[in-house]
Amino acid sequence: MRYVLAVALLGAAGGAWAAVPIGGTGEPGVLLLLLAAACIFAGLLRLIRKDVPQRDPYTYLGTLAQLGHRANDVLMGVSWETGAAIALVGLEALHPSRPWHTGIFAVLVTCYLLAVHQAGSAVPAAALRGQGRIMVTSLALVIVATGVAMVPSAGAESGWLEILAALAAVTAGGLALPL
Amino acid sequence: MAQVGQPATRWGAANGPLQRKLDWTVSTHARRLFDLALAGLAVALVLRRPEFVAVSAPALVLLGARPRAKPQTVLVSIRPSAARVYEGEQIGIEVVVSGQGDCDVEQVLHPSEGAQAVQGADRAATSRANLALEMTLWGRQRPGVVELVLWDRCRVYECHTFVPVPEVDCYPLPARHRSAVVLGPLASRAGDHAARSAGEGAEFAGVREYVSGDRQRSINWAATTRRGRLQVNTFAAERSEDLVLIVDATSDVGEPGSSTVDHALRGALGVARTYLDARDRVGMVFLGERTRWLAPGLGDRQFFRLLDAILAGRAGWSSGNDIARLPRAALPPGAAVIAFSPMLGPKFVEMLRDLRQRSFSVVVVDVLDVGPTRARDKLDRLAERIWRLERQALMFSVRELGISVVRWDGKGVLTLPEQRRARQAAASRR
Repeated sequence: MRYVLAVALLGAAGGAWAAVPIGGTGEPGVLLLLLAAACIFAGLLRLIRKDVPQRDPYTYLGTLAQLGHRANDVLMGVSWETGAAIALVGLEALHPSRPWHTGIFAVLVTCYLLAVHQAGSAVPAAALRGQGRIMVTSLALVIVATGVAMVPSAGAESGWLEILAALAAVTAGGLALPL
Repeated sequence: MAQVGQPATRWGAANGPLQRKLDWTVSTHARRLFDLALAGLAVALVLRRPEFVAVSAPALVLLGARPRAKPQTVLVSIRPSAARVYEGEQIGIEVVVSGQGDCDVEQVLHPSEGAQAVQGADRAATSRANLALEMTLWGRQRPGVVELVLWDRCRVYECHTFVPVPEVDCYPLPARHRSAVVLGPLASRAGDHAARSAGEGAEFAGVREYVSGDRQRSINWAATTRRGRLQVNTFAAERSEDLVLIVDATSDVGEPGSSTVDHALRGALGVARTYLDARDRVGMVFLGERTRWLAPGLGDRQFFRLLDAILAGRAGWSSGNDIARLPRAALPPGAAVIAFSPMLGPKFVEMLRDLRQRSFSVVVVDVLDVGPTRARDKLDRLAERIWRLERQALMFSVRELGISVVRWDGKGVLTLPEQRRARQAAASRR
């Protein structure tokens, strides 16, 4: 249950971080925030209900009960966390450029997805010890990419160059490090 | 009941480790990371926002981490803690996986219809897991399937494989039934029931004058002093009786696990246990698709014979067989008969009539504990009323045959009619 709580907290933190300053993104921002909140909530419900045995088949159930089961099937079948992550990325993108803010947002969203996986499989955190080096590397690459983005633009076409530079830094880091 | 719940030794050699081929696929976690990376890159490229490469970076690194060699097969050994259990008892399931390398293993138990998980998953990510389930429906069955989920180091690849749990015999839980009432004439074998004739039993029968050959220890000194002549105590002989239990499975009404057949079998086993403990001979007749019987026998071995016969006959019970006359081999002369039935058909009454004509003393236990569903309209109410009237008429005709009918809902203590009433009724109708 503590992993589910971690998912809830990280989801809420990611949403809040992507939304501030509130009102700065207009109606599309509110819409994306609502969508992200709904996806995070549905994902939490899915995680809570994953151990509840499902009744099958539905042939002899009443209409309302059948509808309930269909809704449950949708709840359990959709990858809500993916929707939440994409909505949050969209919400963050509506804000003007703020590299360091986006860097922290990247860490929050990645941690949110890791917590979702952890809560879904419920494998103890000790089993993730093997990923320690990879996570540290990821964090370093987030800093590198953010740093590249913070370099002042030199012209209209420099945006592309910065993107390429950031990608190159990430790729080089990923290839060079013994993961 | 002591013998049920023994360790599952019968799988010792046969249930060796099973080899399972592994089909690795990209995990859900990896798909989520991929979607996040894609979203970040799309925003970076479309909006020319290089900081969004940072959103993609961790996901790309996790996805791109070089996977170690993944095993293509694993050996799985699944061993239940017991081969035979009663309904409601728990079984431990030991799962041992070998050959998985440095992959994490998650074991999840999916119970079958006749069982429910107590310890449904082991999240320790180790090769050995102890799961547990509770048997809820009797029968010879596989109580579930163990799902093994293997993860690689970065959780990018996963693999699911399913291994069935070996078969377990789950017996119906015998009903609570304590008193072994004498229902018919006693046989001339030693037993636990006090007979009317004098003998060497423990139950005091009376006092009579001493005759040569009486044992000195049986002298009643109080009566001797009062009467002035030697008096001795007499005791009732102890005899056993033959009992035949009839289980009517020609109709099965109710939810699985609490249907009339379930109640009938639990009641029959409870009665069998009590009478076998009292050193009586107990047999059983199953009325179903075919009429099958087990000749009366003694002791624990007979009890387990009954249990095995019940498990062997579960499948395919349905109506349609002529049961009006039971074969002689199933009913020894003078045996008392206890029939467990929902009393839903006239054929069963015909069989009871036949038994009474053959001078068997019979007690019927009515195990029907459900009625028609709530009537919705006038026609339903009329149909329900007719059904109840027909049932009353059926009960009346059974009682007219001199047969005691006891209602039992499958939950409380099963109580049979008192000894004197049953025997008097049997004698008067004979």
